[in-house]
This record gives sequence, C-alpha cells and structure tokens, in this order.
Amino acid sequence: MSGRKLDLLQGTLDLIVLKLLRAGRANGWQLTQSIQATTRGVLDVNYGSLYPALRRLEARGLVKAEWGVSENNRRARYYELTATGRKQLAVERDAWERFAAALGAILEAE
Amino acid sequence: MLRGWLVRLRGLVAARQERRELEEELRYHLDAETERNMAAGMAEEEARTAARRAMGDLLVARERAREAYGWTWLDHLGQDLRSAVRGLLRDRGVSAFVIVTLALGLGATAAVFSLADQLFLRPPEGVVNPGGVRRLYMRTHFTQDQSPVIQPWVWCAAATAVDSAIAPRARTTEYVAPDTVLMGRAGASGYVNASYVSLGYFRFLGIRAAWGRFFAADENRMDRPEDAHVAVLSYALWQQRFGGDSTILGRVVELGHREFTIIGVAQRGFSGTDLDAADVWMPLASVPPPPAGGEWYRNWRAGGPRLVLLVRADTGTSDAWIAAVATAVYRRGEKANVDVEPDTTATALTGPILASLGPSLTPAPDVAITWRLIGVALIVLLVACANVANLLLLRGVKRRREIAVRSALGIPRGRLIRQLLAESVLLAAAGGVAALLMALWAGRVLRAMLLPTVHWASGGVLDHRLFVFGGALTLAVGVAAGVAPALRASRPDLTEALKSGARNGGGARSRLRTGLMLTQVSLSVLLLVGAGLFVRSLRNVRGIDLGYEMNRLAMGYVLWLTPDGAYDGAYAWKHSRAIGETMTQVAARLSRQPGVESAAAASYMPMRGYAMMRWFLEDGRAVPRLANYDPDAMSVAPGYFRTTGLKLLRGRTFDDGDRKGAPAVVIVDETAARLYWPGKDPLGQCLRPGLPTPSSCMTVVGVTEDAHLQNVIEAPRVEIYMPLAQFPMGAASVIARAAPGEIGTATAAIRRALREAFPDAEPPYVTTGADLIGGQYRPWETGTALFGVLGLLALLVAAVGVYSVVAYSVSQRTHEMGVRMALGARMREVAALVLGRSLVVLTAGVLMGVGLALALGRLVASLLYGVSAHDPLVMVTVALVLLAVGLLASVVPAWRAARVDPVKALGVE
Repeated sequence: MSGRKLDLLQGTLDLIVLKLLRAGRANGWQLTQSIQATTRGVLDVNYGSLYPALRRLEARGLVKAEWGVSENNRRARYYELTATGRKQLAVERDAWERFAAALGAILEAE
Repeated sequence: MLRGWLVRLRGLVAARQERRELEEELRYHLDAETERNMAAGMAEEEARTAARRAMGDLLVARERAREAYGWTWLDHLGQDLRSAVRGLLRDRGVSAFVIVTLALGLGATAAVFSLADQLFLRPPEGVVNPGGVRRLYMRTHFTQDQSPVIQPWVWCAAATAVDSAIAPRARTTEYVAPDTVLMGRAGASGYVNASYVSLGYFRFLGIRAAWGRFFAADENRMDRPEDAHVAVLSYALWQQRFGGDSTILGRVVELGHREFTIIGVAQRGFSGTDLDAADVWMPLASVPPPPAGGEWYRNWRAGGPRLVLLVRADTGTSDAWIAAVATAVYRRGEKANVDVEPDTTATALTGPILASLGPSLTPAPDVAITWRLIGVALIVLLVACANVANLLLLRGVKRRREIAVRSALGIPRGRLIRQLLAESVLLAAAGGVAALLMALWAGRVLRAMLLPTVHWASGGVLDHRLFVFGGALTLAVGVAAGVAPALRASRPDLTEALKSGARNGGGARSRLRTGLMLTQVSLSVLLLVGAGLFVRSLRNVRGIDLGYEMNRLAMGYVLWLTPDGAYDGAYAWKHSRAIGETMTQVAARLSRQPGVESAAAASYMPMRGYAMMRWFLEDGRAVPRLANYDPDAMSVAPGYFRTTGLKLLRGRTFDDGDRKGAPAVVIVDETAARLYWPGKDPLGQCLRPGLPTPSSCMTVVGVTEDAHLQNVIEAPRVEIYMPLAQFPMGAASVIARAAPGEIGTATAAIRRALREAFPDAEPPYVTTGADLIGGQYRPWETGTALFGVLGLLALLVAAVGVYSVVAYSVSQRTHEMGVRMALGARMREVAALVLGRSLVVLTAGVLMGVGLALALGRLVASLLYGVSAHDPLVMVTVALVLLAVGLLASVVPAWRAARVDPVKALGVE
C-alpha cells in the first residue's frame, strides 16, 4: 500500500470531513493537512473535491461556516459541525462500518 | 432541511458574493500551502508554483463548488439557451423559415381570436352580472309566404305586456337598438349612434353615471314626449366630442334636429349591449315617429317603437318559464308584431346578452364568416405546425451524430431533450413575437373588413387576454412541434449513428415525416379549393351586368325633415316640380364643371330606386307582374341614359321636347318589352300609370337594357322611366358621369352644388357608384382574400415541406443511390425513382385534400355565388397545381440524387 495513493470512494470524503470536524472547527487547508497527517499521506485529498464537498455539506446543513482569523493572522473560512451533522456522522459511520465489515467478509472468504 | 434551503437561496441571491468568498477561501488555501512549502525550504516563487500545481485548477474547484449549491440547472438552462441560439443561428435559413411559418400561423389565429373574442366571448363592458341577462326573441312567420323569421325585437305594446306578465319573477328593460342620428347643426355636425331606452335601463344593467344623473320618471312618460328631451352621453363621446368638458351638464345639443339637454355621462367603457356601440342615450318617450303615411306608420301608431327586450330572472326562475310566459303574451293577440297577422305561431325564445350568440335562422354575415375564419386559421396553424415539426425532425436527424457524440460523452438524455426542446421553444417564441406584430396588423384589417360599423371602443386588437392566448398557443406549438423530434433525436442508436450518417432514416421515422407531408398537402388543397371557389364566386358576381357603369358615377340627393326631426317624404312630393327644375339646373351647371363629362337629374339614384307603381296596358288590364312585384318607376331628365351608361336598344331617349304639355312618353326596359308585348314592337305601345285607377296613355318611345334596382344579386325586375319634366315624382337626385380619375372632383362639385341650390334641406348625401354597391361585393372579396392569401401561404409552406422531405430522403439514400449507379442504373432511372416516390405521396395528399374539400364544401356553400361547392374545375385545377408545385419541389433533390458520384457515395464514410 505504501507509496500509492488511494482514490476516494464517492461519499467517503464527506464522512472524513465530518469526522475531522468532530474534533473541532477547522478551515479547508487545515482539513487537507489533517487528512494527510492522519492517513500518513495515503489519502491525498484533491482540493477540487474538498471545497465542493464542504459546500455540499453546508448546503445540506451538516456543517456551518464562518469567517475567522487563522494562526498566521489571515482571514480564513472556518467550518464547524452542526447538530444535524453530528447525527449524520453517526449514521454514516455506522453505515461505513457495516460496509467495511461486509467487504472484509467477502475478501476474507475463501 | 430548511437550513439547507436557506443556504441554497442565499447562494442564489448572493451568487456573486458567494463566488468572491470562494475565491478568497481558495486564495487563503494557496497562501497557506505556499507558506508550508517555504517552511519546508523552498524559495517563495517555487513554493507558490508548487502549491498551485498541487491545488489544480482553481476554476474547476470553483465550478464544482457552485454545482454543490444545487443551482446548476439554472446554469444549464442558460447553457441550453445559448447553445440553442447558436444552433439556430447555424441553420439560419431553416430558422427563418420556421419563424415566418409560425408567425403566419400564429398571427392568423391570434387575429381571428381577437375577432371571435369581440363577437362571442366578451360581454358588454360595464354590465353587472352579464351572464344573468337574457335577450328575448320572437319566432314567427311572414304572412306573405309563411317563411319563418326570428326577430330580436317586439313592438312596444307587446314589450309592456311581457313586462307585466313576468314581473313577479323577473325584471325587464327595453331599448331601441342604436342607430345613427345627426348631432349638431349642418356644418359643425356629425353622426352618432343613439339608443332610446326605458326608464330603468341603466339600473337594470348596473351602470353608474360618471357624471350627472340618468333619466327621471317624469322625463320618460310615453304620453308626454315633450318632457323627454334629455340625453345621456357615453364616456367615450364625452371625451372625444366634448373634450371631457365638466360644464357639459345642462348643455343643449341638437340630435336629429331636436334639442336635448345633456343630464349625464355614463360610466367609463359602457357603450350599450350591442356590437354597434351606442354614443348617446335618450328616453324611450322621445323616439321620433316614423314618416307619416304607410303601413309602418300605422303599425307604429298601434304598437309603438320596436324594442329589444332584456330580462333578468330572479333566482329559481328558468329561461323556459320566461319564454313560456312571453309566448302566451304574444299568442294572446297582443300587438306583438304588426307585420305579422295576430298569429298563434309566435314563440318567444331566450338568448344570451351577446346578440351574436342568440338564436337566428341565418346568422349575420360577420358571424358566419368569423366561424369559418376560425376554421381556416386553425387549418393554417396546423399546416404551420406540421411544417415546423417536419423541419425540426430533419434538423434533429441532421444532428444525430452531434447528439450521439454528446450522449456518448455522458450528457444525460433528459438534458439532451431539454436542449432540443429549448431550441423549438425558442423558435416558437421568436415566431410568437413576429406573430404578435402580424396579429396587430391583421386584426385591424380583419376588423375593418368584417365589422366596419363596430366602434371597438372597448380595447384595441391586442389585450392581455390575447397575450395570454397567444403565449399559451406559442408555448404549446413550440413543445408540440419540438417534442417528437427531440424524443427521436435523443434516442439514437449510438454505435450506428457514430458509425455512419448514410444508411439511416428508416421505417418509423420516415412514416412520421410522410404523414406530416400528407397533412400539409391535403390541408393546402382544402384551402386552395376554398380560394378557388371564392375567386370564381367573386368573378361571377363582378361579372353581373348592372346596366349602369357604376364606377364612373358620382351622385347625390337631398332630403327634408319635418320640424320634429322625422324624414319628410311628403315635402319632396309636394314641391316635386320646383325641386325637379332646380335639380335640372344643378345638373346643367355640373356638366360644365371640369372633371364632369355629363350630369342629369333623376328622382332616385341608380341602384337606389324603389318606387313601385301599378301600371296598366292600353285595354285596361294590369301589366303582368314579375315574381309578385309591381314595376319600379323613376323619373329621369334627358341625358340620364348617356350619364349612367345605360344603353338604349330601340327608339329614342328623352329630350327637351318631352316637357309638360307635350304628349306623355315613357321608356321601358327589355324585360318589360318582352313581358308586356310578346312578339310585338314595343315602340308606340301605350302604358297607363295607375293613380290608382288607370289614367291616360303614355307612349313607349324607347327600350333600354335591363338595370338592377338595388342589389348586385337580384331577380329580374321591370323598370319604367318617365320624363322628369312631365312627371317629377319628388325628384331629388343628381347623377354625374366623372371623367376617368376625376370621381373625387365630381363628388365635391355635387356636394357644393346641392348645398347652394337647396339651403333649406339636410346636408346632401353624396356618394360614388362604387361606394354605393362596393359593400355588396364584400363577402366574396373577404372570402377570396382570406382563402387566397392563406391558401397560397399553405401552398408555399407545403412546397418547402415537400422539398425538405425529399431532399432529406435523398441525402439519406446517397449510399443506396451510389450502389444503384455502380450497378448500372442510369441517371434518369434514379431521378425517376425519387420523383416516383414523391408523386405517390403527393397524389395521396391531393386525394385526401379533395376528399376533405368535398366533405366540408357545404360549410361554405351558402357564401358562394354561381358555383357549386363541389365545382370540378376548381377541384381539378387545385389538384394539378398542387401536383405541379410538389413535383417542382421534388425535382431539385431528384436531380441531385441522379448526379451522385458512385465512387464518392460508396467511399463517403
């Protein structure tokens, strides 16, 4: 696996973003850094996907955004999980785990 | 959920701000990335480049983010429209043709709609609850020949009786239908439409006074007409003639030479309840009596004026009950209608407030023509739609590859259909705008042609309902004409379409196109047959020899009114001789004027005579009657025959020797000569006028050709001419023969001369021969213009339709043609193959059209003259014309097919 980057399954990016925001508010750049750091570079999120995903989540009311000041004193847009988002994260996480379990079962079956 | 929508809405409303925010956010991201790279040891420039590379296309991100907001369909719509415009501009010729076709089809329909709207749909303006108002009609029979008749009026006495009979359960009001009356004095005068109304008229209709008041009870008492000289103006007349003058109340105006005090102005928009708008209302009690003497006068004395009866039933009272009660009143022997014997056959009928929807045995010509117009306009619209559908279908097929490529690139089918529909709706919209302009113009022309007497006070040709109607129609046509082509085009067999454009255009699709072509051809035949029938009718009617050269004649007459404003027929008779002499001098003066070749005095104008007299032969027997009519008689001065162009067949015309005291002479027409003295020489025979008993002999000195008395179309009548100097007969007319192109000079000269010679008479009535009878040709002219223009239009459209279908099928069969040529077929054979196929379709279409025309012929039969609705000449001519035009339209593509180069055709893919 090492050295190769994975394409994200459709919808997984949403789950990842929700999960990362669970820890607290963050801006887009911080999110990309977190993803890279957490997955040790295995997942490299396309910026072209991240921002649309953020807008999508915002439109669905799962996250809310506001302008804030970054560590280096710049204006940046910060995202935060809404109550709905928190609920949705639970649902999607559950669904994901079931999916992963099912996939694992298939792959491990002889 | 709600929040999501709010965000989306905000996204839409603040789209621009949104974009700015996104850009700022992405810029921050870029900067942050750059800083990180620099922290990792890169130079600033390098760090920024790397960051940008890593970020990819900012634009893509931006667009995708925008998509996430859910407003893409709006973007797509814009794209679809833009691409539609591009597509339409690419095929400019086709687009222009489609737009013109649609404009004509839609425009014709919209113009007709505006007419039908006025006739059948729009209730009289201002009337409260017009649906509750009924008109009462009476069906009865003429005593003379028992022919049935439906009258929209009853005598006043009957109206009063009906009023009291139905009073417990319904209310009524009565009025005299609007008619022209002179307003003001000679000079500053003009004609207005006046209606005499009963006391409760305005209250009955729910009309309020814009100014002043309506009639009071003591101003409308039938027994005190002298108290009833008050008038109410329409708002329109008040504005136009009196400039909305607020001091109008109390002013005295002259109406029909009687003075009326204006007491009010009716509410804005109200112009009565008839198609003929009323300008002024007066109390029923002020109706002037008809000219003294005659049957009509006696009837009027007995029954009062003829009134239109309006009824408003209380709730729960049916139309049937009202009709039954009124019928009982009519049959009880009230003076319901004095023209009819007290009859037990009279039946009351009810009709809606719109008179054009009321019961009638023979609908008025404007109503009859409007119904047919609606049919014709719809046919044209159908032809136009068929053509547009066909052209769009062809375009769609032409673009199959483009569509297949798009489809292969993953554009969903729905989107494709939307794009194609966008094109057809856009086309329809352009056509609709053009149609609106056309409707504006055509609507005016139609109104002028069909309803010239209507004031059209209420609204122009275009009102909001026409816009709604036109808009809905346009959209419907756009979708209808576009949906089939779009569905077809969006379902291409991908691999096939991508592989080749050559061997397609298979079964179902070509059947649809052939069907559309058949429709166009057959409907064009239908319209052209109509045009042919009207052209022949018009030719027949115009070909009728009236005797006179009406187009060269200008004429005028004078009349006198009694002190109370009625036509004074007795005056002219009493002063016959003096008037005759003055008129002869007028004629002499006129004939010396430039622009006038000759002039003559006469008792009546040509085509306006109607003085029936009894005549006797020498032995005292009455002359034989033609179709129960006594002969018409008129007095003419010498020169009348030369002036009017009436040809003398035998003997001599009158001369100055035929004066008072000289032997009495008379000139008869051909029919009289043949009828009265069969087999004998009419010259020298004796005719004795009955006054009322046979008087002394008048000697026949000449025979003229037959002339028409009143109508272009009329059964033969007998006319007897007497010298004006011997027998003046209330001579009050003068006729001038104008030099070619000088008709205007002649009418002006007549008007001037009559004013000078008869200062005490009414302003003279002056007209031209052409105007006098012009209206009589109108039904056929209208029909010819209508069917002719629309028929040619349909023909043109059908020709283009045929051309495009054949051309397309040829282009689709290039491959096949190439194979045939390669196998040794000759050019002529290939051309014949193409022509043969279109000939089959054309023949089928023509046959269908002729069949339709035969089946629908009876709908126009009543409007034709001297030609059967199944006229074989017209049918065959139209069929041949259509075949010829259709073949001509097929020749070009057939020729192209014949010139296919087999090598190219086979190698083309």
